[in-house]
Amino acid sequence: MDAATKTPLELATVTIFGPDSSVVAYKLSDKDGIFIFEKLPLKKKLLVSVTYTGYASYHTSIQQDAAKTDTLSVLMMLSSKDTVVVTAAIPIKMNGDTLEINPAAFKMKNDAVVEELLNQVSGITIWSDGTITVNGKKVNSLLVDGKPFMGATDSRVATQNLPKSAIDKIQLYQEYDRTNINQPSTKPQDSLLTMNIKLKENAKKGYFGKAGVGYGSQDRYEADLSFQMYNKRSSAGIGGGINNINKSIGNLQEIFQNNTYRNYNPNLYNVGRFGTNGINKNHSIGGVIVHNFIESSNSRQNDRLTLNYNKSGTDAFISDKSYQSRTTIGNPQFISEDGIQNNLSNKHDIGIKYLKTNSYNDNFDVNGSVSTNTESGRSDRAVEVRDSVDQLQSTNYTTTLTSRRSDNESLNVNFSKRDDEQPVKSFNTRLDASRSNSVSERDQESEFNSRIDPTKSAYTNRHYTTNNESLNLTANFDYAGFKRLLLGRYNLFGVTLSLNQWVNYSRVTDNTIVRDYDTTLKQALFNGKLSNSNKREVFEYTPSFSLSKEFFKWNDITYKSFQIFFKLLDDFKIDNNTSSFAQRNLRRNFQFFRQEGSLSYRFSRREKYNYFVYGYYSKNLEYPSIDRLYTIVDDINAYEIRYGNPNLKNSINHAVNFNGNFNTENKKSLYSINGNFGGRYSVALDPVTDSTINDSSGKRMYYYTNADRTTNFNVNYSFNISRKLNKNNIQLMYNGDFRTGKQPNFIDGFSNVSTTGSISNNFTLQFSFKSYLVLTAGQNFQHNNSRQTASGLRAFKNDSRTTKFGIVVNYPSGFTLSSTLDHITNTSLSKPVVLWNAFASYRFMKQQGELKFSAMDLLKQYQNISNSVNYSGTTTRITNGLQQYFMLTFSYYPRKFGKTEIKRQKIDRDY
Amino acid sequence: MRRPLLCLIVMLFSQLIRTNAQSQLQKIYVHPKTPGNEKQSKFIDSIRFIPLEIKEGIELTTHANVEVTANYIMIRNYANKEALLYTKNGRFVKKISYKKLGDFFYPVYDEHKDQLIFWGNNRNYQLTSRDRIKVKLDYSNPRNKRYFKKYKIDLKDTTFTIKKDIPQQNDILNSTYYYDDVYVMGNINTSELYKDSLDYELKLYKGNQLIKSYFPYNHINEAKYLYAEENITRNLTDTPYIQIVTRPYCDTIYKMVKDSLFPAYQIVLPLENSLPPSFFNKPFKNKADRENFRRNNGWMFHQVYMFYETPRFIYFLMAYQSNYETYLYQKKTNTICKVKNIKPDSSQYNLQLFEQYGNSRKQDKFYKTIKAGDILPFFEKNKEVPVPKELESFLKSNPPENTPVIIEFKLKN
Repeated sequence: MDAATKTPLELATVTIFGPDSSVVAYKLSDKDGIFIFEKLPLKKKLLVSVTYTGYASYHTSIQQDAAKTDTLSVLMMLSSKDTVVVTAAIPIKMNGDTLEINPAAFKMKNDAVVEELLNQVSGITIWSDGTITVNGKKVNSLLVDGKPFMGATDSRVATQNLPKSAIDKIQLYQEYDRTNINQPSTKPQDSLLTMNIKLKENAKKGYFGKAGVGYGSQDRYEADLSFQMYNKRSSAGIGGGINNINKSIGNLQEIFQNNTYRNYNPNLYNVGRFGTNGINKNHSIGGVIVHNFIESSNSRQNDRLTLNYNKSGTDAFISDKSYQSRTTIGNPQFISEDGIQNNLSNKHDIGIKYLKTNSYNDNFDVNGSVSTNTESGRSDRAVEVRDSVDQLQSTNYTTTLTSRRSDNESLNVNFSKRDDEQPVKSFNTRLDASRSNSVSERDQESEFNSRIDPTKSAYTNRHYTTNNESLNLTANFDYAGFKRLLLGRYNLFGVTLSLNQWVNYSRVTDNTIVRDYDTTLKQALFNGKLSNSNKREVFEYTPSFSLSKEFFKWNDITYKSFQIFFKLLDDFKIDNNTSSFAQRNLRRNFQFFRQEGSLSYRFSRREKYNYFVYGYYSKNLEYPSIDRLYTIVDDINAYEIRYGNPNLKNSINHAVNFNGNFNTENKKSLYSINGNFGGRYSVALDPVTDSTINDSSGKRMYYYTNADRTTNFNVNYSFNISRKLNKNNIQLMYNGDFRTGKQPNFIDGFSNVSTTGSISNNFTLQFSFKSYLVLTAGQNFQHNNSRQTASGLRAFKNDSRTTKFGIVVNYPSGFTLSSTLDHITNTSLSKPVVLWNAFASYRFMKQQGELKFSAMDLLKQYQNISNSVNYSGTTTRITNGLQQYFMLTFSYYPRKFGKTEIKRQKIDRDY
Repeated sequence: MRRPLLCLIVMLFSQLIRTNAQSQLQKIYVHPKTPGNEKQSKFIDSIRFIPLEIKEGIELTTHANVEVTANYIMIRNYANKEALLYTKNGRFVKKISYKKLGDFFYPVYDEHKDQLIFWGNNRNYQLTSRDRIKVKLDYSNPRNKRYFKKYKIDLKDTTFTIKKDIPQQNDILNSTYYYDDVYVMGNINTSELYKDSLDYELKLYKGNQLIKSYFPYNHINEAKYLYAEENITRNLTDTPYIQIVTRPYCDTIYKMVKDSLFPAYQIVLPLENSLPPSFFNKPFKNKADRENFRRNNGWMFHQVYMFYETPRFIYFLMAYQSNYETYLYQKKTNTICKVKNIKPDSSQYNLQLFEQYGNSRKQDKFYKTIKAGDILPFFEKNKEVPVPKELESFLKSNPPENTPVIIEFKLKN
């Protein structure tokens, strides 16, 4: 209250600080000057600060020893000073349409990063997968000073590296989605919720990163490097890694994302991967430079060049054993396979990206990439096929040596412009060009033995030399000014018209020379049945015409929008194949007239919730490729010999894609809920399918043929709910998918329809207690099944279930103890497997050095087993992989933001 | 030859007026960062509640404002697309729904004719700003009327029927009634479509005859007006025939007495909020450049909009490039205060009466709409505070929470 008049003061800021000056809670007084705090910590000395512009601040300390309601009356005196300086920072306020968060109002430890700050702000939820929502709305774009930080698309590079102390303010606002230029709105929102982190003036230059090296038992090792620096206009980063623990390194952006400074909730699954097949020695190193030619602090204007280079490679050793139950009419087969593979790959990628925009109405970007790839490998496989009474039917032993060298170049140019003043000048263009060239050599030695019909046994030693060149050119021109051109000022009841021209030219040239080693003559002989040269040229032109119309209604509380979209397309295709084989010289012309259309509905109840549903129907026609009509039959793999069918018909595909989402937007609610679903239902008429003949010798032949129809349906869904409990947070994330399909085929001459289905469900429950404790529990359940209609064929099913627990304890200061435990059950396992990993880390050297001890697979139980089901049966695969190991890792985090130490500043924020 | 000479004379004359007058101008110093915080009771008195007759289905929506006509009080409920008419003592007269007119029509009160006018584009056509200029250049062509729709409600006719009206030249040219048979045009824009490069920001017409014009500018390529649509604003004063005139990008505020114009005040801003010289002499390359300037310099001066003066205060709404702020200037202390920082207290029922983007005003009275639910809790909690007489029976009738209530108040004399 005003001390002089005893009148209430509305919107006084009341802040409660803990003993360490951290903000415990904050409130604004209501119209009657009343403020209520609930569930304050007991037996702790708390400082109450009440500030009101123009009045002298009021401070007092309180301590609650027992749970009770207490009252504090505050009388505030007008400040005697002529000039009033606001010293108490307001934690969160609206500035026009922008919500502004003031980091200075949140007292946190010195090394706290932006993500920890956001966790303290009411209404903001950091989900366990890194997604950020504000009052239920997903943050789609995160910018630092109006630009993507370090050119990164993942927000975590900024939120998990930038220290809170370097931030001036965090702004949240809706921004126009540039990808919608000239497009009819089919998305739930035409604007993106954007989070912009404004750096303090003296922190607009800095560097940060991580360099870590670890060594462990069984000669396991890993090393990571990530270093990034930035100033107002430019940023640069280098990153790399090498390991033999199956840890994914990924590309440069993934390296930056996986090596952030945040440690209160480390990614417990960014470690050696036990589920990966084999032992993989991965390495990757690269660098990126981003330069902005203009110094703008908004995202409307961009003039940015990004250059990157990455070199990566893998040396993989995989030994596997698989067991397959395969259904055939009256003679089910049991197939066991043993294999050893050694693969070596090396890849160089160079990328260049230029983006120039001057407003939300224009966009020009150029993306170019060059990559070279070399691969070599050796594979040895032994296959045994037995019948239902365990009698050996056939065996096949193969050894394959491959080497391949390829290079790929691509260039994409986008240019979009919308001109409201001169609508006839509104258009989108896109040009794509790609070229690739590969040379491969393959030596394959195969020995097939039939125990039923020994005359069909065969030995082949074949050498393939293949040169492949491909070129693809695509141009797309979307003319949004068509309506204006056609109708002038006439508005056609608000219907939007668009004219689109799509042109594509592709050329693929193959030269294959095959030689068979003749054991009698002891020399390699030219194989005229397989050696061939082939050139396929396809020219496609699709003009299309689309109409769309949006209906909307709004009032004080709700907003409803319904949109209808319809498109007519005419496909013209010329497919010209020239080959050294006469029957493959084929020139075909096609014309398909088809339609697409969509319906979408959006409903929004202001500050409560909104939802969006969308459905898209499309039809397309597919003609059989030359390789299906006149297949070049290679019998080196006796279990998969494919034959073509010149009588194949065109197939017609109908598909309906649908999706929807829901989220709450209630600022007052402690809960944040969101969910979404997406799926596809498709029907193919006259689809190409297999007619499989299991030869009595054990060989397996596949013939292409047309079936009546196939249907496929899949849907994926997720539901997430989070609740704030003071500074703690509990969240449940659920996602799953369901698939089913009917695939007609022929097995040994019998018509059959295979119905396959799978369902997968994932639950994750996470509880965080301030920054001290993070508990996670989750379960993954998968079920697969397959049923056949032909009598004599078997049905199959299998299940797997993984229950996961994780714990992170950040106490005492600098120490982090964490552990994960995965309990895995599988229909192929006689007893469950438990994978228990534990980690201990300590940060020192002013929180810039970290020592980490990892103990992986403590119970030494893990086995790499996977299941799969398809129409022909089930397969269980066991591969080699990681076994128990221990590792000690040292990491150093170089960090500096600004030239001088950043101190808290008093900020006058009444602008 | 005659025209440039005339132009030169006008420019020199207006410059002379400006130079002489500016020395006597009352300066109003505005500091956008001012943290000034004041109590509402210091500025406002004569608060009068106008409780409105309770009618089922009548609710105040978020986007609503009030306007006082000759015989009625009108609430525009934008969200529900309805105008609510009450007598001056709050008796319900009529709910006029204009939903059928579409989303972009709303009633504007024509005081001269005592009519509500709905003016907007014919949605069967889509006009660009170039089209609009072409239409205005050919305003007498009857075919150009099809691009617009006009409806009116004659408030003297108690059926309050929405009637279709024919767009007139004045409507197309956006010229508005001033006094007697004098009309004013204050649209400002530039285009290469104009054949004559000379135009005036403010033009007074009697019938079709131009009687006075002020502030010449280049109609084709005036740097400060390129790629923009601007307007002169006129504010009524308590005295007939006297209006306050403001111009875009001009810190001088003028007083217009009939067809004569005099500089009256000057807004003085800190350097960081003032427009740089390049804004006036270096043309923007395109519309996007202008928009980027506006967005990147959100707190640079644009124009003063509402302006109202009392013996003690000046109340005005100031537009910056992309921000708005309403201020109260205290003449005695030469200090300025943002109205959003003026806080209510219990002596004024804890009701925030100033609105951030300006209140409706009729002569010396300001108006604000509130919901019954905004005032009821105050009297329930503060039993010792006497309920104003005009509210007594209204409060006893237990009105629904969203029932509108109008508050009339004055600035203190």
